[in-house]
Amino acid sequence: MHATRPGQIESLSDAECVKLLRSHDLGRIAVVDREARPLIFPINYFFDEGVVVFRTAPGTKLDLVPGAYVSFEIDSWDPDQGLGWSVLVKGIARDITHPRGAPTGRMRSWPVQPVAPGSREHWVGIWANEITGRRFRSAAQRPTT
Amino acid sequence: MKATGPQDELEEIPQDECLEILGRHSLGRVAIVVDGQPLIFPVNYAMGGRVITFRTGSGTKLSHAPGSKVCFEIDGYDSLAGAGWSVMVQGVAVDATDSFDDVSWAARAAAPWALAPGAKPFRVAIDPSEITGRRFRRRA
Repeated sequence: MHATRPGQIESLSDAECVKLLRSHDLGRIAVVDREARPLIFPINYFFDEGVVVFRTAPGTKLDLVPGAYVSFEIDSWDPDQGLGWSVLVKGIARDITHPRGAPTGRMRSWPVQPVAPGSREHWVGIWANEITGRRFRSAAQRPTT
Repeated sequence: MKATGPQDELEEIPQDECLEILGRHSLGRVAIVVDGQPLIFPVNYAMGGRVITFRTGSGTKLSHAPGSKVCFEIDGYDSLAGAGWSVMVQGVAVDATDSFDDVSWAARAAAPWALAPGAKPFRVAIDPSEITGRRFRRRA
């Protein structure tokens, strides 16, 4: 990655977004519940072929996510470098727990490693419609608190 | 750590402690619904009592958040300890830039830092209706 100047904010290329998605495993998914409220959940994921795959247990995520428009986000902030970035994936989620052809079967062999306890036997894929990212270097001094 | 059972622990964080955790951090994410699709934005925030507040420019966050139901989230994971936690706040967002309601006053009493460059003259506040948290620790 080339240097981002202080006070500069720039868009990440598609290739940079994909590289960041592939080199991390913890992000957050946002879904909308039945009362039109957005909810955010941290998830462990694996990204490949334009699909964010995660595992979940029966519950809110599994009730709301399949067939829904969702977002997925990863970000990072390095206070020493003053460098921050974020990648946002907008897409449609699908339950891929059960066999539905070769691609989803293959996805269920991807190394998704949930760190939170509990059985997570349901597999969900987020098919990306749009991937955007940005990076900035802070112009400001760090707060002293 | 002494194991007390075969299961890893996943527990709710009491609301008081959620507020304490929110007060100790300054970087979170807000989710806003735009045309039926939720979007996630990282924000630097501060607490004014129970009110979450962040600075913003005149973009998507300012045009879609005020008056709408939003979600705010912070989380952390310590891979060495195998311990993770998250706090989620649901509520309605308010444009607190120059309003005189209680939520806006509370928001303006706090001083959120904005690390990302760009003019951020506007102030958004989230009046929490629900604050929940959970944490876990993996057993070795």
